[in-house]
Amino acid sequence: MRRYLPIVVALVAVAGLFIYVELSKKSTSELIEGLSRPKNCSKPPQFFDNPKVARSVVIDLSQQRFKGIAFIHGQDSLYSKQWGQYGHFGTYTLSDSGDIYLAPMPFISIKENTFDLQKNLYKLDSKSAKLSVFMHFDSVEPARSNPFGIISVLFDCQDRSLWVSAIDKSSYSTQAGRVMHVDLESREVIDQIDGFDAFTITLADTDHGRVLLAGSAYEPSLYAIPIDSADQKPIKLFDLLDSNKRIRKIKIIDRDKLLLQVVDFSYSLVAMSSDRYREEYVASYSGSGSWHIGLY
Amino acid sequence: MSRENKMALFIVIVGSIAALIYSLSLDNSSDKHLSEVSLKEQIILPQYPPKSYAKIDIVQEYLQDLKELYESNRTVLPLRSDELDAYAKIAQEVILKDEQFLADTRVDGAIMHNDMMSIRAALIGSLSSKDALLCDDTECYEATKYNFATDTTTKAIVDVDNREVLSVSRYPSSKPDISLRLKRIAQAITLNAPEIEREVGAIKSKDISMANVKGSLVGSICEKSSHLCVAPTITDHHKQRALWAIIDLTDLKLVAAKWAGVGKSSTPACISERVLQNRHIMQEYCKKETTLRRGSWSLRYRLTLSDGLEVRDVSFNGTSMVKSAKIVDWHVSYKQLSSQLLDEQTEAYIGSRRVEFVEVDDGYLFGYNDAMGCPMFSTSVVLAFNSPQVRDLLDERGERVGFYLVQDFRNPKWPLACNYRYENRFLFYDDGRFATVGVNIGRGCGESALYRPIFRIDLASSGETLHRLSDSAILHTEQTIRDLPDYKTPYQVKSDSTTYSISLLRSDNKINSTTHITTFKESEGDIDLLTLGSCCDLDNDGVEQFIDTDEPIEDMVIWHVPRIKSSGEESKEQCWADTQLGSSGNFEVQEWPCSVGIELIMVDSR
Repeated sequence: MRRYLPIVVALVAVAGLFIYVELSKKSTSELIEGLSRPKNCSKPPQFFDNPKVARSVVIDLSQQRFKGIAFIHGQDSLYSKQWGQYGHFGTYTLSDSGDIYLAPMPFISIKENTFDLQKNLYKLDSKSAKLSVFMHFDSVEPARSNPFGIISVLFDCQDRSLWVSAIDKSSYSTQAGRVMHVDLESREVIDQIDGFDAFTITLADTDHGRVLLAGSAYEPSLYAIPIDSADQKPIKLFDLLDSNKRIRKIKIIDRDKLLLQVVDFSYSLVAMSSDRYREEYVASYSGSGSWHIGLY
Repeated sequence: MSRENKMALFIVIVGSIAALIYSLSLDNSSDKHLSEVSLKEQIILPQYPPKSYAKIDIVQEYLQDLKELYESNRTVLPLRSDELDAYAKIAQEVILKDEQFLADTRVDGAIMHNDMMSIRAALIGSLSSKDALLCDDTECYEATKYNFATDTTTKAIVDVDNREVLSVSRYPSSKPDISLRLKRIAQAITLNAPEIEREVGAIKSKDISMANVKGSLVGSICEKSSHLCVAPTITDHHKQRALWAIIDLTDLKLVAAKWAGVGKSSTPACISERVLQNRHIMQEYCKKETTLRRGSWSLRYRLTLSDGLEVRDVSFNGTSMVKSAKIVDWHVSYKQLSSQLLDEQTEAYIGSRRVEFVEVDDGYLFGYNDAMGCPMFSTSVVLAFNSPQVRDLLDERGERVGFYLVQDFRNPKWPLACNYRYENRFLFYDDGRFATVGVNIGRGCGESALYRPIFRIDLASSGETLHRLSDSAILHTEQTIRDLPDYKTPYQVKSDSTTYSISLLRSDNKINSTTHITTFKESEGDIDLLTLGSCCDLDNDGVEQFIDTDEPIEDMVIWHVPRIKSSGEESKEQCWADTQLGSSGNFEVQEWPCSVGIELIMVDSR
């Protein structure tokens, strides 16, 4: 009987290996158990002296009537020529002091300074209402074969930092984007996740820590990045059924429920930015790695 | 080592490898790259006009039935008896007389294309509580029709025993399960499509399955989201591969197809017209050049990142004619008559596009520059649609006089307002003429726009001089010639080895263009140019920046910038497209293309 012991030990070892792999898989689905919206700390800009108006103002980055950023309140609009000097913007985030951080976006035509503008992160100051370059990223290199650079920005209330994503250098066969964690005070990149093109990012709380939810620019997919973990590898949560679409905005509307705004995107220039070229889906997490996605 | 130890070692090694493969397969599901998928694919795009499918027997019969239906002033194509049981036949008879059911089948008296799709015993889940009560003791059937023109599904519950329609519901932007007849038509188009036969030979297999079209969460798999499209799949079990086809049942044509492995990554839900097109175009035309030899002509062509389709190294009978020819941009401007003071806060946008504007004497011009090119990873905004195609060039009598290479570029939503469509054509005549032509098919944002395509022709010879025929001037330095005289053939280009006449081609017979001549520099357009010049400053085509009037021309590059006006005014349409209800009962795109171009005629070769 003892002569078969090595075979039994080998079988047990292999079984253990498979159990380990399976458990790793399970921990992937557990990553987003208890998905919920973190506490919001954003405040409206202080240059709106009327708090009532400030709360109901809509930030307009559609580039339809105004280049850059504008504020719409009912029929009224607030716009300064100075806010159009850095070209078009794609996304923004509001800080706890009312500063607005903006990510650029190339739009319809490429001009001489278009690529340079994609290398910056911008700030609209809460008090002075002055728009300026907040950070310049030398490492970001937009090109004719991929005119995009910094594409998304998010304020992190927990440590007053910024999460910034860039999708330059990616090509048809290679994904070379970065998600950077930026310290607001020192304006330095303190951490970086490489090889992933995040088209949009948002923070979420889960039962197992915080995750960065990211809509991929490369695939029609939503990813989660466990930012509290040592291994910050993006993990795919689900694919959209329409492979032309990319998630451009993520909003946590309830526990385990996301509102996703999706657009057509293929790393060529954006011509249409109005709402009618966007679709909205609701993604509900039903546990065990399973999602239900429906039109909003 | 004992036999048992060897076996244990074998188990550990094989088990570890298996665990590793299993682990990687989990990883791969979340880390798949486009290139990995594409390696297994062979994509087939349509090469023939849609009418070629109308020759297929079953399609021909269907079109004939529709024609007879409209001629008899009926509006809904009924299901044939092989799709109906005895009760369903009664239900169809009843429903096709019901005014409410037929209420959406005409618009302004014109008949829209409507097909009955199914008539089946009503299931309890499809009945309202009121209908469920009524159907408790009687035989109820659910009848479904589809309006192809409005993309609307209509469902009705019919009490067959009492020959009564109980309820009618409409579902806009919703597609039903298709009829058996349409399923057979989709399969017939797949099996008989000349494109598929050309690529892979006649398909023997009849093992066809059909992707369900229900559940319109993702809209249509076709680029035209309001079209009824299905994805028949033909499996070749021997070679472990499957042909996924996309068939547009509104236009009755093949939209795209691909051969792929029968693995999990190739489910029909993951394919769409645009995804297949983009992958094929990127792999075959953006990442590499294609060599074409036909008759006495030889050339290479490629899709650029923002300068459209480019032909290179064109030679006729072994004589090099052109190093490069392409259309680098289309400048589009609209005129607004106004004395209003302009500043950046004034509304200056059309459609959903914010635009640049330039003040002129009696108002201002506004617009933008459209770059054409690769559909992905490019600085283009009007994107390659379908692949470059080679077609016969026919004269007015329909006789073949050469061939042409054409690439279609579109905004995805064309022909909706503020979406554009251009074609780049290169004409190769059997007699040695070569022409580069830009075709504009609208639709633009307003009814009247001024378009300025920028042609760049780099001649193969060197040491050329430009001879202006109107005043016999010989131009041998870089310069701009505005407002060309009223000559169809205003120039000759002469070098030591050749003489070419240059003709200007226009569909509107007006002469209104600018020509720039420069000496070759690689950075001045031999590699892709970024957006050139201003959309709206008519004195600035963008080429002016390359001109130094003191610089002698050693190797001539001709830049031709014609102007052409669009019109959306009724009966004067030009460079325009519109959607109208056609004789097929479907909304059809009506096109009024306009074209401009430049032709080289070799008059002497030494």
